[in-house]
Amino acid sequence: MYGEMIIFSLLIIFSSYFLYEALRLPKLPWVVIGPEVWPSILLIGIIISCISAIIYRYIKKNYYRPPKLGRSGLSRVLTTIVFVVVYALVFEYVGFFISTLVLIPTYLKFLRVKTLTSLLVGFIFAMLALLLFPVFLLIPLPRGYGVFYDLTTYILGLFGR
Amino acid sequence: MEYHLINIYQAFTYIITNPLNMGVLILASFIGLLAGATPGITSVAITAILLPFTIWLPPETAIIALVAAYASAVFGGSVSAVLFRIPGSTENIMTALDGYELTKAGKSGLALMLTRFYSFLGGLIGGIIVLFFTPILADVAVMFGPPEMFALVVMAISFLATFEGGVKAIVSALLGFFLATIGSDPVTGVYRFTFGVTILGGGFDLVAVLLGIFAISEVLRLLESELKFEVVKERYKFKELMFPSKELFLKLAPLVFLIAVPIGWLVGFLPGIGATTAAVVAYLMARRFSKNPEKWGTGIPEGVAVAEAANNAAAMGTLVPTLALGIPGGAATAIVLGALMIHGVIPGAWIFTYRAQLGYTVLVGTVLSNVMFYLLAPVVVYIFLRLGEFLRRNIPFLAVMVIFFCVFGAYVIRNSVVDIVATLVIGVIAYVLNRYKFPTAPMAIGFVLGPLAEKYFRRSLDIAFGNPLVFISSPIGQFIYIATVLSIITPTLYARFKARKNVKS
Repeated sequence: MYGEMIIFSLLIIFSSYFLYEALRLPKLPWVVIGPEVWPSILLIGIIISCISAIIYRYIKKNYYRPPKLGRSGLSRVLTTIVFVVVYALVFEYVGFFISTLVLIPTYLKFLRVKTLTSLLVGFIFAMLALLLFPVFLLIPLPRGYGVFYDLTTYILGLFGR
Repeated sequence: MEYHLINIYQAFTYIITNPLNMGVLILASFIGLLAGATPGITSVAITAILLPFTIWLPPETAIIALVAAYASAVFGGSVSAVLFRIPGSTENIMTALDGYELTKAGKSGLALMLTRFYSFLGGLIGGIIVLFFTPILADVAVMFGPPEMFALVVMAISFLATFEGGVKAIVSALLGFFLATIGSDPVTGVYRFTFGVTILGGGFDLVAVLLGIFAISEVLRLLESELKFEVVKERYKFKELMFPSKELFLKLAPLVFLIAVPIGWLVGFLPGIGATTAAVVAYLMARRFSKNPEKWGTGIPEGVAVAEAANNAAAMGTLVPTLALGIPGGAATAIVLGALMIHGVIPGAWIFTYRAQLGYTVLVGTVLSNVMFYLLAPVVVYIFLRLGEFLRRNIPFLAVMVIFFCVFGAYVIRNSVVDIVATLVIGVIAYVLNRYKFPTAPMAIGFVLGPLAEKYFRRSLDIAFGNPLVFISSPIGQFIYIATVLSIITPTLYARFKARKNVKS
């Protein structure tokens, strides 16, 4: 019952805050329509839509209930989010190769994949990243700092990069 | 006309009798196909990556290589859109909606056959129109100023109303429009909602947003449930993977030939719009005029065929302003334009008179590139089809693969971790909204149309010193607005008329 209402309420709070930020944007006298006008129109639209949706649902008692999320399902969803956050955080410091090589098996282990398979998949993806981006497509990726930089540079050197 | 036909014939023989041209055409098409099908490498990215390799080629061959890679990548992107819900290129945004639903229903073979056949058809028809009418249509393209462009965007926005979900669809679309306002203001350059993060000055990248809305949210949804799915091994006859049945072809023909291809192509040929927006507009319009718009997005062949025919026709359309006016139709054609300039060719209508061999070779090359990817596609489609089947049986591997391509795909846009974080945040928001039955496709569409709507709205008013009558002052604008109103009220009136007739009978 409350989930939908919470989303609409959060959207109202979020839009109100950004509307406040939009109205604080500099007013430029030489343009007909300032930079604040378009976002303000959109945010007011979101606020009005959400308020009307809340009132409608409250009067009609018409709420949508999503299927219940099991404990294991929820933990997998949260772990995936944490995994991507950690991946993003260490990506530039540890380098693309080492972070992929270490994090993917760790994540797969959490999803109850066998250790050996996890390690193999981690290695395959690390090699895929290495061969696809810096070697074949010549797209530079972060090599990390310190020892990680040296290690990634050495591995890339084996492929002539 | 005779002059045209002679030049086309000469260009055709020049391409097919020259081993270098043919070799480059085949290689570039194959690279484009593979790159497009690989999530995270967009059609624009592969065109940019190939650019340095084409410098040593003759100008005609260089442009053929880039156009072939671009056209093939636009098709290739549909493969990952269908199998993994990751639009390989931004042009495939609408293909992911119905294509992925067909895959979930165990019909990925059908979906991939439709993408291949209708990409080819859309690209071929679009290419033939480009071939015969580029010099003429270039004059029409310049008649579209900001007010007319705004009218066109308004028309596309009006079609968003066909999405199921009522106020939830409206909120979702408005969120997409709002996300597009983050970053530097397109008119004054003022930074909006960047909170001191310099890289956000460029706004959220379309690829990062699409990866979040489609890929991350879907992975989270898949991980909610048990990790092992019963996947029925699909078996198809060779013919079924090559062509649609006669009944299906005839059923899809009106939407494809009367709406998807012409609208996709027409919007694509307008300068500065691009194939992605063109595909979105064509899809929304076809959905509006379909007999059962509520079924679109639930896995119907119409959705896949229209989206693919439109985006490939639009990709061809973007070449018109590029070659004839020197104004790129989209990001990929901007690279083609750059390649022309690197080879010392200044684009313009004269390219078809004083440098006819170059102009016509490029045009014939675009048509042939469609034939080429159609012939090469079965190899790539087969590999990805089997890979998709394997991954759907092993959800953890599928999750890892999608996350891997989301992380790398988002990072390589601007070499910034901020884009990875943006993809994740947008993905989580889309996942939560999806759980509560907010349709997220309008959010993606809003993000595509938002910048255009704002830019043309403000430019129009700036030109007219704030006079709002500028929007309805030109005949083209008036025509588009009347067509929009008619397209909104006609289906409703028709439905009421039909209901009343049924009650009476």
